[in-house]
Amino acid sequence: MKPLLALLCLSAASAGVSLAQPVLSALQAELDRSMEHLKAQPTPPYFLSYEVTETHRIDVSGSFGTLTRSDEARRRNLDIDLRVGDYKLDNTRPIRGGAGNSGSRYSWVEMPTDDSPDAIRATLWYQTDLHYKRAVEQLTAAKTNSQVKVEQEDNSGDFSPAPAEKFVEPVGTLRVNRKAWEEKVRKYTAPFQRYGNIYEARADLYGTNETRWYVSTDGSRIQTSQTSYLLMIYAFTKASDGMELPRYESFFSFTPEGLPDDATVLKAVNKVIEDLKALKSAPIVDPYVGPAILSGRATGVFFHEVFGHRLEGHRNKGEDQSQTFKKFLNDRVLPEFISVYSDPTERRIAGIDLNGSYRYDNQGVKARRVTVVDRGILKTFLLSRTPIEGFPESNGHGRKQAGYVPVARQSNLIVTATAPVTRAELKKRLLEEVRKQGKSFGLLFDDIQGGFTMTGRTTPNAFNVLPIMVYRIYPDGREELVRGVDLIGTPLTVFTRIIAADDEVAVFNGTCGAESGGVPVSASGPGILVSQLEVQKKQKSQERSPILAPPFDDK
Amino acid sequence: MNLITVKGSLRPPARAAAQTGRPQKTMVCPTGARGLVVLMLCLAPAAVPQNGAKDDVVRRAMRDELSRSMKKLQLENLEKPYFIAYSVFDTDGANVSASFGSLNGRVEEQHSRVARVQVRVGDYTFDNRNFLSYSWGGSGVSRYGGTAYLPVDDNYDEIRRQLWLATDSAYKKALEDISKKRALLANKNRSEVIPDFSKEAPVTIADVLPAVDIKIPEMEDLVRSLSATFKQTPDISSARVSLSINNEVERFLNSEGTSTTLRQPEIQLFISTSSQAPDGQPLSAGLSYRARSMSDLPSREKIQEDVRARTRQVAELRGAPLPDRYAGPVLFEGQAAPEVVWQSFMVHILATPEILVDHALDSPQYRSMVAPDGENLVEKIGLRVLPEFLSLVDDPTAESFGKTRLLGACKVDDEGVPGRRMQVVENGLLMKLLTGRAPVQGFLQSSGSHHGGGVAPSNIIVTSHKSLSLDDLRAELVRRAKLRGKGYGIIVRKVDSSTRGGDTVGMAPGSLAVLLAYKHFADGHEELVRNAIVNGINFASFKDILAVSDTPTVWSAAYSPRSMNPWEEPSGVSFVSLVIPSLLFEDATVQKPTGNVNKPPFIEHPYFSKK
Repeated sequence: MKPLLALLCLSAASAGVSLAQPVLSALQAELDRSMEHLKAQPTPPYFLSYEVTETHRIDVSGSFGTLTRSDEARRRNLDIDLRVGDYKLDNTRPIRGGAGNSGSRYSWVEMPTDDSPDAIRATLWYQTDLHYKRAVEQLTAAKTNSQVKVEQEDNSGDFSPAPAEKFVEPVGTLRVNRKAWEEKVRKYTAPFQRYGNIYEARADLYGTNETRWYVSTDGSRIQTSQTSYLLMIYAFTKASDGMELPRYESFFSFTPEGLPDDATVLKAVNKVIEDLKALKSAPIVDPYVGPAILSGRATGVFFHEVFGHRLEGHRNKGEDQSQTFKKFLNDRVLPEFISVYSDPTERRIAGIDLNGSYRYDNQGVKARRVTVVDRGILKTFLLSRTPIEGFPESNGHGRKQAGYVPVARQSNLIVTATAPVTRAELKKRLLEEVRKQGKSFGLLFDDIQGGFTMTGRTTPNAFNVLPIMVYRIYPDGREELVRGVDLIGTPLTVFTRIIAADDEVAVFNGTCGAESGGVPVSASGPGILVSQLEVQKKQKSQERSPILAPPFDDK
Repeated sequence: MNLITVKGSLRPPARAAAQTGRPQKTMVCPTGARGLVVLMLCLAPAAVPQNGAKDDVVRRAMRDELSRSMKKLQLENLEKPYFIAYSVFDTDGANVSASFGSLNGRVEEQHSRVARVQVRVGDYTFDNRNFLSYSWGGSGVSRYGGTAYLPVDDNYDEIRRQLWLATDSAYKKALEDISKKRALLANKNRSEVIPDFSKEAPVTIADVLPAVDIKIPEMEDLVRSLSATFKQTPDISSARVSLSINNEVERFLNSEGTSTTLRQPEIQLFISTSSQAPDGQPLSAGLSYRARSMSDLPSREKIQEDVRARTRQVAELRGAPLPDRYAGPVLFEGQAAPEVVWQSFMVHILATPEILVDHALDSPQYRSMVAPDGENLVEKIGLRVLPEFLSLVDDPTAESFGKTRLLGACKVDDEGVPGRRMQVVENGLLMKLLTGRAPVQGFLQSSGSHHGGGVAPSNIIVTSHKSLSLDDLRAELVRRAKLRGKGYGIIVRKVDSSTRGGDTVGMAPGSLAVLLAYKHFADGHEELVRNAIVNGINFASFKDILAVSDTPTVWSAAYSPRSMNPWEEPSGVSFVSLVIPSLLFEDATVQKPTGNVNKPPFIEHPYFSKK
């Protein structure tokens, strides 16, 4: 009993420290002092917020049965949002026709980590002064720009008010035994050792605790802390024609206990090896238009890329944006049986923790479930505190990676379907479509690596989703693994062609990269049947396989 | 032109993070205390085998894969490699920093092992190198043209697997490059054919200094307490103290039979500060220290004393006037003498060949990437570049000057060529330039000066057979100034390296930001001026040096050499020590800074305002 007691005391002590809120108090004191003094300036700030993000990371990587790295680091970054002008027009307004609107989106400002109020405040003071001077310059430029350019299509203001939020949760701690993790990554990658034609095989274990402290002149005072654990298995081989064939497995959890045990991981590793072998000899699919099934994870990524990014508010405001869905508000964009939510408050689906969960966004706005599509009808957009026409308030999706400027980003994208069918039934429906359209086969996209999408006006408004495990399903029900296809298309047409969904909901946890940095997200959904999908040939490496045999085979 | 439109992308988590950055190669070059080496080795935490000893697992894997590749590697009927070299860098390092008495984060000691593979096809006179072509492999097999991350575990098979893949990829790139290079030259007449690679005798050398014992809590304690010094300095707006230790071991092996092991630990302590004069002009109180062992670093008390001294100078500077316009003699005294040699002279004695640039990359941007930092002095060999009473050597064999260790000392460079004393300038005449194994006109052998991924100096030592005491030198300054009708001469005692990106980079020639400049009057009294800009000191000015002092100053800095192929051989840093007497230049101009600066902070410092 004794050790347990000691442990309890320790954790109580650390909880005591976090309740004292030394960081929040220092932020608040300097925020108040800055506003007090700067209000005497000719151009006083109308809004000021400080956000300190502490990232404590443990990264352990292995390759082919050996350790390649084992690092631990704890750092803090400061982000300041200082605004002069007013909610209607302030210094953050993008300069139209100006160079480098996206040039200064990132800055890393190192913060002391000892919880010393003097050191914290010294940094805040110095940085606030720099931000203030820059903001005054920017406001002059923004005002002139809005006078010399034509009237903007979207006349909404630059910033929206938000209610004061008070929330404090204890600072979390990473529970990692690094030595044990080092052993695990060796063990997980050892089965790849005997393959000379697998060119990279790695296991990465990441433990992250992110603590954020936020204070603002709204009166908000927020302390959140989130711990997560991630295991990635990655390997790739090459086909004889040079095509690179990757395979990923990832496991995500909020607790270390939530990661799979060694036996489960090794099973997944063997599956990766078997899949790579199968992919190496799989036939290539020619460009194809026809019916296809997307498995749950594929549906998630597909909706994230094709749909989710186009719902991010500012992409329906910017003058350089194609604003795909702006005029479709309250119109049908999906079949009636599909609804779509963006829900950072949802923590778990289908037994899997969701990477896109949070309590407050990076602008001090409380997270909430947002119904973006209700039974096929587009209801709203994902909003940061940058208003768009008709949507004057944030719905808690102003997000960023530490050091970036927040914009509207996705969280947990959840696609749901009413009246789902079984996977077997979905396949039956697929084959009906194959027959109806006179095709010789349909496609099943079972696993997906990720994707990208472009929403600008100067590039094609299109998407590209990168599948890994794709099967041809023949009219007799036979399934054949194929390789070398990417899913492509333009967004609006694809959605009208979803004709059914199944009951096998699955989750893709990932990191989404865009102008406000990499943010954790998830995307989940059921398997869906699309009457017509388009695939193109995957870009292929021109590099030949190694000339010499692997050293251990060259005796 | 705003090319960045919105591009969202979803990828499996952390994959991108895992792929970040190319390895930073850091450079090595040791100091003395050779006597200690043998004794210390048995105590060092990770013992590095001395040469002559049996190969360790890493070197055995390197040797076996290198020899297999030389023997068997050939693509169809194309050329086989004529030269292969492997460098394996074992990094064991730590980096801590603090501000205002608080740590800035905590990073554990880091270990990594990176291999760099060089494959040459063709022959010594014409090969695939000295050529810049696109080399982002992108794919996983092509290890970025010869770079591979090795396991930190001593696993023979896995080290060989990675070397195998990296060699394969470097060989394929070499074949492509030599054919592109031939095509490029097919339409050109070359005025003079200089070989691409020098022939050097094989050597086996170990230059292994004791590893620094990394104790992170002690490092943290040091930076925390040094940064707390700034709680007593209201004149400094912000300050950061950082300490880094890198015990890098480089194992090098080439197909000519050269085998070297280098470990020259690098310790760097930086104190960077910012503060402003009342008119907003920046004033730095920065300090930097470099050493090869903790015992060579000054004591905490001494550093604190230095900080206080520098802080007092900043306080004085805040009240000092900006300089009046001045044209006349300028004396670079004490530390300012090596600083001015570093910034305005040193890069010119480094000779690198012309790098051909592939058609696909032929733009000013890429050409400038491989353009040498200095002017081409090949044509000036035999001409006078210093006054006839001055000579200059680059001497990696010099381990100390008086009681001060010289940080550029090393036995062998990172291409496996032994270092030797090079008489660069003799009695004012330019005799030699520093080179690596890429020959330049007139210098077909390496001088053993390839450090940190490019050509770099080791220890630069200037000697004089005619010198003055410092008092006489100052009197000479005043006398020369008087001839120009000036009531005073200018003495520079510290160049401001902070405003131009720190002292690790060479500065634009001809213009020096000066931190400490003084008007020196005939009666010996001095008046401090701040934010002086000294113009007109360039390579050519050095031959008009009028006089020098009899007591040189030793000063060290880290040089980041120009890489001849930034993608395949990213450059690191190389410690350089300079031993230079105070220098009286005949002609320079001194003026105020131009351009706009930020006003001083609108609000008082939160800590000092409550006092």
